[in-house]
Parts: sequence; structure tokens; C-alpha cells
Amino acid sequence: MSEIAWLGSLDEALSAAKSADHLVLMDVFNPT
Amino acid sequence: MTYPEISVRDAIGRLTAPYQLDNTVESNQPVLDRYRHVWTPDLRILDTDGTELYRWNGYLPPAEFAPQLIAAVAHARLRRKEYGKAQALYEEVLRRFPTSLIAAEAEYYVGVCAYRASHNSSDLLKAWHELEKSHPASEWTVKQNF
Repeated sequence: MSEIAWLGSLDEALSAAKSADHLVLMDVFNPT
Repeated sequence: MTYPEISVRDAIGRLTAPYQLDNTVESNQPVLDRYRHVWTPDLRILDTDGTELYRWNGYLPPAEFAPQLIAAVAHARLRRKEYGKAQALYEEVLRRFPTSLIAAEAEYYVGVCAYRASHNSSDLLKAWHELEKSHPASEWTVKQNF
């Protein structure tokens, strides 16, 4: 399987989840 | 790192629309405020209207992250009253990751899913009896005593 296709915004993720019968995984990270 | 591992990538791709955000970026602040973010790693499962259905904090190695994610999606499906889908995912956790930290929680909710679908208390008690045998020291075994 290829790399994870992280979506760029919450709206984009909600829309993608709705059309694919998926749920949104939201991952908040700190780069430091 | 957890994400390069194939079982993690597979679970994310198969079950979710993944959205990642940096909590140091100012433009992300409205989303962070909306979800009352306080600590990373901060992982949420959201319904398609943005409602939070499950969350956890803290690093997990791949062998724990994959079953945690599957169980999280299972719980979200359960809260959406999709009992069959939820039970299948919890059973996947028990089949593929029987020694994972989340396994006892999965076993607890297998019974809940089965009972919600059938309204037959023997389905609940059967699963919880198995939980008592497989995870006698788990908090989920304590929680199933009533």
C-alpha cells in the first residue's frame, strides 16, 4: 500500500469520509 | 514512527479519511479550539458532520496503534447504531491482535454490539463471560460486573 493520503482540511476530510462511507481520523501533532 | 508500518497504513486507508494538523500553525487554531485540543498526540474519530465519536491521547507503537484505530472506528460505528459493522471490527481486533492493550475493551463491546442487535441478553453475557476468562485483571472485566 502507498503512503497515507492525508487530507488538507477538516472540510475536505469530512467530505471524503461521507462519499466513501468512512469516518474521519483527525491526528493533531506537534512537530517539535 | 508508527505510520510507516503496513498494518497501520492499511487500517487508516481502509477505514478512514485521514486529516492531520500541526498544533503550532496559527491557521489551525479554529479547529483546535473547536475540539478543545490540549495535548499531542491527539487522535479523534469524527462522524461525517464533525461530531467526535472516539478519542485517545498518547503515542502507541504500531502493534498497538493498528488495533486501537480499528477499535476506535468500531466504537464510532456502534455509536452510529451500525451494530453489525461495529461487531465485525471489534472481532477483527480480537482475531488479529488478541494480546493488544485494547483487546479487553474490544471483547467488552462485542457483547454490547451483539446485544444491541439482537436484544437477547444471552449474547451480552456470553461475550462478557469470555472477557472474564481472557482478561480477568482488566478494568473492562470490572466494568462488566453489575
